[in-house]
Amino acid sequence: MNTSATFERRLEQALMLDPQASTLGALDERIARAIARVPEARAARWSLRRASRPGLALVLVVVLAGGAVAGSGILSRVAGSVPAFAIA
Amino acid sequence: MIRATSVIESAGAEDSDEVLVNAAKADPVEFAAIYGRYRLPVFRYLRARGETEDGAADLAAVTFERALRALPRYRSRGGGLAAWLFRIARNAALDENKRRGRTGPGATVLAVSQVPTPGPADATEIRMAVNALPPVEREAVLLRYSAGLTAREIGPVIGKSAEATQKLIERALQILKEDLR
Repeated sequence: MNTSATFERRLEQALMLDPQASTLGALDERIARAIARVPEARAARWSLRRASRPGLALVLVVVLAGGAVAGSGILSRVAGSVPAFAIA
Repeated sequence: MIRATSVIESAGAEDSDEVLVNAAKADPVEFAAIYGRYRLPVFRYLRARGETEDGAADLAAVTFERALRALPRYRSRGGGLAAWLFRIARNAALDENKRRGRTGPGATVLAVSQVPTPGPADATEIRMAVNALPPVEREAVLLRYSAGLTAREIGPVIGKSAEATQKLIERALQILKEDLR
């Protein structure tokens, strides 16, 4: 083995510190729990989206109706203040 | 609940990273294969940055939890999955340093006294020499020799090209050899 490779091996031995089995076991369990939660979180997001769909439609209807009423109000006010409109 | 050890130990050892990512995007349970492949390199890197055993394990968990959440948005770029994961790990370590009120990216790297040392007799001496490197060289050396990343994978983590990273590592090795002569 050449000197450079030997030196790199020494670096690896000094820097590659492995966890104890109990530490690794606890880490494995924590990640397994996180993975198990993902489908639940996705399902919760999906049902929230589905539940909010009728609500969104209602809001949209109210906004459009309000817009139409406000629009016609403005139009009649403009019509009333312009003489040509009144004559026509 | 998924049985952690069994899933991780049977994780697709021969599949490419991109195969593992696509599988995990389709089914989160398959993320166990990514975790199984990278848990030790990520832990070793965080430990070599000067974290205690428990601190490194906690930051490794944070890294994989963040990766799991971000996986649907993962796009393969330079350095692939390894670079992506180690960027997350590095950011998690920097966030933790900030939270503890330490300053600068290299402030906690290889706090030698925190690392009770298995390994060869000159391990402490080597760690001290690595600790004395300029921050970018030190980061590259840690990613190379604690986590086993290639220059192509290290580059995106430290914001350099693969060629520049390779030169950086060679320069760092020269400095270390002179220091440890």
